[in-house]
Amino acid sequence: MNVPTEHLLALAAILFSLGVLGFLTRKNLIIVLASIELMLNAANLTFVAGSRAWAAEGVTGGSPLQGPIFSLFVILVAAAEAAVGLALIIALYRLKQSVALDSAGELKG
Amino acid sequence: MAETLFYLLSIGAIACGAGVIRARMPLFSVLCLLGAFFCLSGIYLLAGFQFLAVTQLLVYAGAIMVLFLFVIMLLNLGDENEIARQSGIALSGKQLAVAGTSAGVFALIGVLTAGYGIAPVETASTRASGIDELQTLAVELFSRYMLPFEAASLLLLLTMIGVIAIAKRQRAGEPTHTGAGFPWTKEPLDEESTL
Amino acid sequence: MEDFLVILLKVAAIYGGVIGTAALYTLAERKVAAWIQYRIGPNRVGPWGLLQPLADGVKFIFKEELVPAGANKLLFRLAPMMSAVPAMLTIAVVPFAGDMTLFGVDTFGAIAKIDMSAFYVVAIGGLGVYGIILGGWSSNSKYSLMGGLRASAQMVSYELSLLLGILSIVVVSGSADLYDIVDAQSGAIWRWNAFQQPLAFGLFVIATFAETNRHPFDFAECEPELVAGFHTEYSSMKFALFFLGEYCAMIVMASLTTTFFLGGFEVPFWADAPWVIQLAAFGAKTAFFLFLFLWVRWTLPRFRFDQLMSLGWKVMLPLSLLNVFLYGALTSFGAFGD
Repeated sequence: MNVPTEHLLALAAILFSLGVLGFLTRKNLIIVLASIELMLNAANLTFVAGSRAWAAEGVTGGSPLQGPIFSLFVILVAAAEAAVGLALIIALYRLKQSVALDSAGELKG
Repeated sequence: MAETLFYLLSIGAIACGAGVIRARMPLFSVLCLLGAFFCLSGIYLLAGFQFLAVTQLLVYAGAIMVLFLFVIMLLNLGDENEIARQSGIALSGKQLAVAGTSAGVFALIGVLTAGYGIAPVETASTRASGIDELQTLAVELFSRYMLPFEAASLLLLLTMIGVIAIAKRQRAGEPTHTGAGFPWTKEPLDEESTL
Repeated sequence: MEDFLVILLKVAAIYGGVIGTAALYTLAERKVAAWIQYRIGPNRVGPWGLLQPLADGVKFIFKEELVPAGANKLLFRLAPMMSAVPAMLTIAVVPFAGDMTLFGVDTFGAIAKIDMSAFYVVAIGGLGVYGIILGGWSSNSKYSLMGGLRASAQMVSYELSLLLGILSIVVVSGSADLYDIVDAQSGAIWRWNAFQQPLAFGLFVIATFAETNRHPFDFAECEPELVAGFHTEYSSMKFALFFLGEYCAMIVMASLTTTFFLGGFEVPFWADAPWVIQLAAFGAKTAFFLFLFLWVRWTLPRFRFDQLMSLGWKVMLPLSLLNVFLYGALTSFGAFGD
């Protein structure tokens, strides 16, 4: 694949921004969580792009797999985050019968 | 060939990403996210990282997204409008503008700085054959990244315990909202449905 | 050009074979059920009822297509396809035979050879659950919803055991390529992973029953409780497609169990058998597991859903982890060194 690294990074930036937009504008907790996953994936793509670029330049100083290893850790954290987030959504739904972000506003100062 | 595929997958990923944040129903949002994961997995494959591509499918598509769908079905979430009505708050135009601008700024900064100081890659020399990749990965994980690896396993254990503690229903007798709120416990069965 | 034709031929043969087997398997299911229950079973259409699947197909085509009111039409139509396609994608990497020469072209007995095929089959095969989940959700019916809900919980729980079983095989074989895994079991019958790793074998077979939603774990359908579970609202060819997906998934799982644990296409004590013999050996081993699915279905009672969950998380998962640890340690001490 002879794609310039810039294009991979631009794709990551666009996906990340879409995630930010969803996170900021949506009220449904499930969709908010999905937006976070999208952002994490954009980060993964950046790792992959970087790893690929540095390996091609021959300046890795290690293996070409450093990027993917970080991506694996990100996937792991994303899994943990999704599990906790969904458990919180279930707990919130029990309390409020709603998954709207605004229904959990009691601690707002 | 591979380049065309990459751009097709990129367009797919962006379209699916837009679908995630545009979808009216949470279920469609999650399905779009699934599509985005597929496109990204294809891109990892093109970049020569097979194990990452497979892990992406295994963990995201096989487990996390199923969990999302499980929760959507457990809570029987339908139309987004219901939520808007329940909360009684819709996003104001000003808030939307702020959010849109900030996301736009993110995208702009990202795209402008993308590849700053990185020379264009001529060929992908990273492509390792499968088992070599797997073995290299394992050696790296268990030597250089031993500590993060162990920390990650601890994190997973803590997550498991935490999730069970959060989502567990309290036993009867305790002052709680036991079972309340789930679609099938909200009202007693009417006679029609028991027929 | 000839290469391309040979590949096309392999694709046609393998997919035709699998779908044909799935059709015959529906007949076998009824015949075996009848045999176990001292009945005769379908015997009117064709000799020994062999044309029964064809008659069933014609009947399905003439049934009325029904989309329930309030159903999400797009997902309702998409769901049966999503349940059938992953099983067929998985078939592509299953090694049915070793190296062969077809019309002067050297090739191998699978559609594709990929390095990560052992993980690919779980990653793609696990997607079949989306058809069940979406079918259950889009039907706008409580029974269907419960069926889909159960399928999703069940799938996540048992995929772990499945994957950990494969992982210990990958560790011992030193490769994630299904061809290398088969090679590692060649030579003698005790080199089959079923004898090398009996614990993983047992766990894997149990997990395949849960993965394919088969009795005694068929909670997604579970007639006494949920009418017909996720496909309650489906009729005509959409229902048939769900059926086809389920039977294809069973064939895939049986052939994967064969590949991982019974030496795949290896013929015991005959290392370089011609590929026709290898194919026959593969078919015979797979047929055993296909029969096992039916045998268990018509013999054992169904579990309860909470029993399924506690079996998955409290018994199978710890045992699978123990197995991976055990064989990882044995491998690192050189117990399986060549």
